[in-house]
Amino acid sequence: MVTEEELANMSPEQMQELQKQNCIFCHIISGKVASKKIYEDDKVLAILDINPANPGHILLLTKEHYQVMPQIPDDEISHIFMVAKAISHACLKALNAQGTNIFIANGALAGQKAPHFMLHIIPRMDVDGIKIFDLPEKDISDNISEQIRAGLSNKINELFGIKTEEPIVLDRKTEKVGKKDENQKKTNEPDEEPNKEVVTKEKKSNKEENSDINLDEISKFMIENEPKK
Amino acid sequence: MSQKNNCEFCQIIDKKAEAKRVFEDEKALAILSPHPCCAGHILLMPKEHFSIIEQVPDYLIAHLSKIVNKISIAVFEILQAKGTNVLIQNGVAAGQKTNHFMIHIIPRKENDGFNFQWQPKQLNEEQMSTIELNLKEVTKGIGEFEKEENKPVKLDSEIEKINKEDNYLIKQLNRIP
Repeated sequence: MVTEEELANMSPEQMQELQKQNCIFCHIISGKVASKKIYEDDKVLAILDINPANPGHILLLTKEHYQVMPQIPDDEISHIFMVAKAISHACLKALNAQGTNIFIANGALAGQKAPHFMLHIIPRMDVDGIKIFDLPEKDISDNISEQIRAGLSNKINELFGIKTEEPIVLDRKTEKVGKKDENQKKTNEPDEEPNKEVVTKEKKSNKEENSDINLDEISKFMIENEPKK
Repeated sequence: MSQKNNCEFCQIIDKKAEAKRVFEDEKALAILSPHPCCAGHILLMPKEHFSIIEQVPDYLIAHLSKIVNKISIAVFEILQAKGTNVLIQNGVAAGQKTNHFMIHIIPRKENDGFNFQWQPKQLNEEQMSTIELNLKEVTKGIGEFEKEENKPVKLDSEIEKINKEDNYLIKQLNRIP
C-alpha cells in the first residue's frame, strides 16, 4: 500500500502509473484478468460486459488509460467511433438485434463507474423493456437557449481554432477567467479590465485551452486516498 | 429525394427551418435540440441525409467524433457541466425518433433527474459464450476503414448494399411522420 505522504509527493506520471495499477480494465487489457474479447487491435479492446443491459452488451475500451473523453487525442477518438460503428453493425448481424445504443458516460455524475474511458454498445430489441435511452422532452426558454448557443458556439469555434466575430454573451465566461487567475500564476493580465482579458484569452492556442479542464474534478473516482489539496 | 424533403433536420441544414446552430462546417452541423431533454442538449448530425449509423461512411464518423469531443469539452467549460453523456439511438427499437442520423450530447448536473443506469440482466456462462462466438465471427472482418478519397465510388455502393440488409430498420424509421 502507498501512504498518503507518498501519494502527495508523486509526479503526475507516477500518479497515472498508480491509477493504471488499480484499474480493473487495464488488467483486462493486459490479460491479467480474464474477459470475453470480441475485438482487439493496437488501440482498442472490445469485451462483453459482465453486467449487461441486454445480451451482447459490449464495452469498447481504449488500451491507453484515459479517464474521460476530453483526454483522448483526435486520431484515437475517431478510431474508437469507427470501430463502434463496425461493432454496432456486428450486433445487428450476429445477434439479430433490431437496433443499437451507443453510449458514453463522461464523469461519475454522468453514470461512469470506472476511471477508464469506455464506450457502450448495447444491442436492442423492440420489447426489451429498456426505457432509459428514450429521452424526455423539456421546455427550455428561448432566452436560456440563446445564451447557451452563443457561449457554446464561441467556445467550440475557439477549440477548432476558428475566430468568430460574435461578442461573448455569457457573463459566466468573464467570471471564469477571473477565477482562473487566482490559481494560475502565469496569467499576468490586469484584473480591472475583464473584457479585454477574454479577448486576449481567445487568441491563445487550442492546446492551452484544452488543458484548462480540471479532469480530476470531472471524474471524482481517482484512487481512494487521493491527496487533499 | 422525398425522404430528404420530409426530414426536419435536412430542412434545418438547408436553412429552410430555424434552429439554434452551435457549430457548423462543410460536413456536419451541431444544433441545440428542438426537443431538448435538458438545457444544453446538443444534436450533432452529418449534413448528408443518413438514417442509421451503418449508412454513414467511416471517415464521416471519424470527423463527427472529433466534433463530439470538442463539444463535450465546451460543455464542461461553458455550461459548468459535471459530466456529459454521448448517446446514439440507432433504430426505432433503440429509441430513435428521427429519420436523420445524429449524435446526442447531454450535459449533466447534480440532481438533473436523468438516470442512465440499467438493470443488469443475468446470463449464464453458456449464453455469454454463444454471444461471444457469434459476435467474434462477424468482428473478424473489422479493420479496414473507408477513406474519404473513395467517396464517389464507395458511398453509392455502400448505401445500396446496406439498404437491402437493414431494410427493417429503415422501413421502421420511414414510418415516422
